[in-house]
Amino acid sequence: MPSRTPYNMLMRAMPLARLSPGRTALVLIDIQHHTTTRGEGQDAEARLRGIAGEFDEYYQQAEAAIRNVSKLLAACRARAIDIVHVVKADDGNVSRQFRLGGLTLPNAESASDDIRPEAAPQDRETIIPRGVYSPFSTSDLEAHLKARGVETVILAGMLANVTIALAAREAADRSFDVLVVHDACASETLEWHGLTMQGIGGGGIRVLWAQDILDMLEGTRQ
Amino acid sequence: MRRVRTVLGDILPEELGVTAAHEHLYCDQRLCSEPDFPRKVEKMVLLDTDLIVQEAGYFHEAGGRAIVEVTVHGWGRDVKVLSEISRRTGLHVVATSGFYVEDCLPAFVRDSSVEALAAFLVSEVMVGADGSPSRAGLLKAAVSRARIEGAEERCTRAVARAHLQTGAAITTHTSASSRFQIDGGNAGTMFLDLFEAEGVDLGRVIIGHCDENADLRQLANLMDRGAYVQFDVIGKEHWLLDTTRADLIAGLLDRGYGHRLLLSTDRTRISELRISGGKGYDHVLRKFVPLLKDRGVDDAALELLLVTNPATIFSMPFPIQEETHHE
Repeated sequence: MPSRTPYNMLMRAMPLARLSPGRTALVLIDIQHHTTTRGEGQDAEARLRGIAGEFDEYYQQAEAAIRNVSKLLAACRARAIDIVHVVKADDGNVSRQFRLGGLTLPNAESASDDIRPEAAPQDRETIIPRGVYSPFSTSDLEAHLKARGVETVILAGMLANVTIALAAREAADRSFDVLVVHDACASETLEWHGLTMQGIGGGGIRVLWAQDILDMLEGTRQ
Repeated sequence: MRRVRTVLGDILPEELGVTAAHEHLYCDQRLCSEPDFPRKVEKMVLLDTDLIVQEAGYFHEAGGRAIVEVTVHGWGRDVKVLSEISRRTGLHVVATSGFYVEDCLPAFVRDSSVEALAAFLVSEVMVGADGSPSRAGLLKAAVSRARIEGAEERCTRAVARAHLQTGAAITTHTSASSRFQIDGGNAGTMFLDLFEAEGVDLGRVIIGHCDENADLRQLANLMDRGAYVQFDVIGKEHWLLDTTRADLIAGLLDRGYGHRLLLSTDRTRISELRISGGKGYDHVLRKFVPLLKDRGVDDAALELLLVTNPATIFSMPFPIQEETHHE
């Protein structure tokens, strides 16, 4: 697994994030049945192909990640931190690549129904459907966060090696401090997860554990 | 009457025994051209005959009796070496004529017509290969992109026409880096379309590398058209887990496709051999067969996959029908 990142050595240290209410948002991506529940959505297609076993590692990661998402949600809700649920769905603006990929997406109008019960949205929480890889590129996610004065985005969800990695870079490009929660994300395989978490840090993006975030919310660490 | 053409001579199909349908015993990818961009990927090089005799010996010890060696002219095939390996191991070895991917085509292919290429292949099956009287018993076509085009199309048509003249079966290299650019995960359908247009009986065609990016529906379609589907990178779990391969095969057996399946490991590198801690040529017999048994695959089905199907597809009509020239 690669470890040296010479380019990061050129960068000045980024300021540490402070998770204060009003300046922080928890952005959850694809904590939904289509992407995380066996027998539904993408797993149904895998079964038709005869390759469902290929996804065992992913679904094991996803279940563990969702347990940590529940903890993050509870802690963030207790501190009135802004919460956004990004959900893979057909919002009428599905990218050509998604359409060619052939996976049928849940309907955007009922997207909230597809969210896993462990992450069921509460009043005043925002649901943003995405029919593209990046939750930033076609939605009003950036405007939503900036209107609330958010400076730091906590990212968790699936797939870490595709959408989380892209969303982290896009958030950093939009001047947010980004905290990716290693054990509240899942990648295609454990190997990909390790590579992704190792490769994503730097340039305004930090990779932390769920307990780190909980401690930061408690104010016991930065 | 049929015969399997091995490097040491023709044998009866029932003499073949437990067969690895797609392996390399002697090859050198350094003979192929490739882009300059630095890569750390270990090339496909097997040149240590003593080592291969030892490694193929493990296959023999595990019950293996025949290896189909699918290296072709252009990247180091030498039927004289294959004959030596066959003699020293006691394994039947079937050599292959045909063409690999464009980067590995011999220089003469660039300026040769389909007819000239076919004549070259027929000569390797009928007369001898690599300056030796040992003959090839199988033909191979390959694609490196998501379409069969250019030199690879000429070579594939030549393989089809050589097949029509010799009766030797056709095996195919269908996927590699293009496997995510083709619906179903491999170029099997394209190969079958082309071979059908050339007048080939699709029951004499093997679609290789079906277990790199598998789709049960695609595999069933290929077999419904008569072709053999080959799981030939067993053990290479960076593409597909062996447990998934076993699930797929068990599923295909349940659907009645057992008579069209072949198994192998496609060893091409020292790092894949037992001496390097790799899985070796005997991986199917030692490790994969137990996975199949765990899924309820019985001895009769295993006999089909490992013995009966290879004996059927790799045997040629005898005497060979030289008068069936392609127009």
